[in-house]
Amino acid sequence: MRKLGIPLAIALALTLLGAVPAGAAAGDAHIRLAHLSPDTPEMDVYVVGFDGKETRVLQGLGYGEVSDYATLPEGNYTFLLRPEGAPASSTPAVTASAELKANSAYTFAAMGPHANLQKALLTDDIAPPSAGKAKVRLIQASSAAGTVDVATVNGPTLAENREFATATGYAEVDAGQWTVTVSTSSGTNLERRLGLDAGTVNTLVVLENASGKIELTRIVDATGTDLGGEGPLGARQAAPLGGVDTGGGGLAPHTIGDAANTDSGTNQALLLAVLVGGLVLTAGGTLLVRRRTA
Amino acid sequence: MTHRARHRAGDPGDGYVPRHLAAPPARGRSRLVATAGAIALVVGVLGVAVALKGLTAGPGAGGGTGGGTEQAAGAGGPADVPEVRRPARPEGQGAPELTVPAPSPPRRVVIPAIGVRSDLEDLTLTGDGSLSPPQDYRRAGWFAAGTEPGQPGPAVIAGHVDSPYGEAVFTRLDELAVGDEVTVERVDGSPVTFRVTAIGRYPKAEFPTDEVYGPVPGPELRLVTCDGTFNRSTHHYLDNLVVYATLAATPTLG
Repeated sequence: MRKLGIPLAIALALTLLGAVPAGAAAGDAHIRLAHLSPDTPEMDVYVVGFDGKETRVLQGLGYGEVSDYATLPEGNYTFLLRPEGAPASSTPAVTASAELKANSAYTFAAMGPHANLQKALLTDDIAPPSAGKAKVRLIQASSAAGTVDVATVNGPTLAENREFATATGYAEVDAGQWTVTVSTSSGTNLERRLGLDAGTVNTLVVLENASGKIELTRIVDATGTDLGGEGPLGARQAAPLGGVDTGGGGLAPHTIGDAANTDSGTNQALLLAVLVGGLVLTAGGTLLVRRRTA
Repeated sequence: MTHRARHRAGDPGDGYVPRHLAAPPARGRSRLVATAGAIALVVGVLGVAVALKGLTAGPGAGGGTGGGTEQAAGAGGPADVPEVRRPARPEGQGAPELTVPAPSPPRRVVIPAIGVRSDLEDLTLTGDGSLSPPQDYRRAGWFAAGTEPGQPGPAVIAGHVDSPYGEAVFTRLDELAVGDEVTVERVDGSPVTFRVTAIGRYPKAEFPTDEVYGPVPGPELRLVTCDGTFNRSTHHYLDNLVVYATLAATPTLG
């Protein structure tokens, strides 16, 4: 995730460390912010935790940018967005509260013209796709586009008549190189190439680029090792099956089984006897062969 | 992101027989005696080989291969869907603005809390599709076909909890606690540091593949070793211990 927001994750982790119950990490929530409002300036993002403390966690999040996920203990949070550099005492331009559940991931998206800003808290289902597949969904974040259809050429349809400020669920798509078509009710038709690695979870976003043209962008929500199959971009091998045998048993506090009764048992005494016997036979045999062939 | 798996030159092998023990050709007058000698020699050599194999047998090393093809982007046709990126910014007075590390294969894992400092060997898959354990009990290994530590996704490092005779690289892994740091030094010279977020113990039959290898939102690390009861019949532990960690900080060079 070389795009962004490690800063957000780190800042949240640091600032909330004191408020994190010990051992809460096993069931954390993940949340990121998406700035998809073309005429809204760059924003500073503050988070208010359950302790009521307000902390700036991200500086200057601009249009078209999506932060990385921040990891937080589950609970209720309020996110405050102020124009970059505005004092923390000023009235936030955007306020949103969210109840974040453990082991869940969310995208908070602010979309469309500032005068009619649409806010959405999307649930990001980052559970693994099936073997050899990737997951893809679409956020329609362009108010200028009207409704959009997004489809893969010779593959599944990703969105149909999708209205502004809504998102599709995730579709499973074969990993590989795809051509994606976008057609909007406003009359824009795009054709773009999209590479999907197996084991990844992706979000496509329809938005307006800097010059106001409708464009398709993508975010990799989550990356995993393919649970079978291979993708075109990372040349990933399938994840190993099951666990790993990482021990010789020398310090085992508890043992079961009987080494002597198994085919492959390393009964040390028996093996030593075989070793010694073998050496004797070898020596004897060598002597005999030498004597007879000399 | 580069995913690579390098094959390591193997040891001579368990069946290796020193050259001076090899049988010379039998050309004697008494074939019977020579044959008997040769049989004794063969049996003896086999015995030595079997015994040596039994005495030195380590964990099974896999014959699986890693890596694959990297498909180059073709010329012409439609443009790629651009990935949204947030440009690097100067550090503000509030949140630290750090950059995510560039891709680099790992070289060494360092876990100060339990005194671990180990070079990493590349781990591949065994013939049955499971992760091959490190060949050296004192050295940890990295699943080289998976995620590079520091890149988005779950990087996996495995090490032995013990050898047949005593301690191994991850003997003290179960002493790690949430919040402990794990640093992976990388080939490009820069370290990445992870912080432990959770520790799990699982019967190998119920290994949580999705949790360990499945998609995660950012750079994460898993440390895996054995745990629980040792089965002397199969020579394997029944359980795995998994330490989960997420990126704690990125390197600040200079």
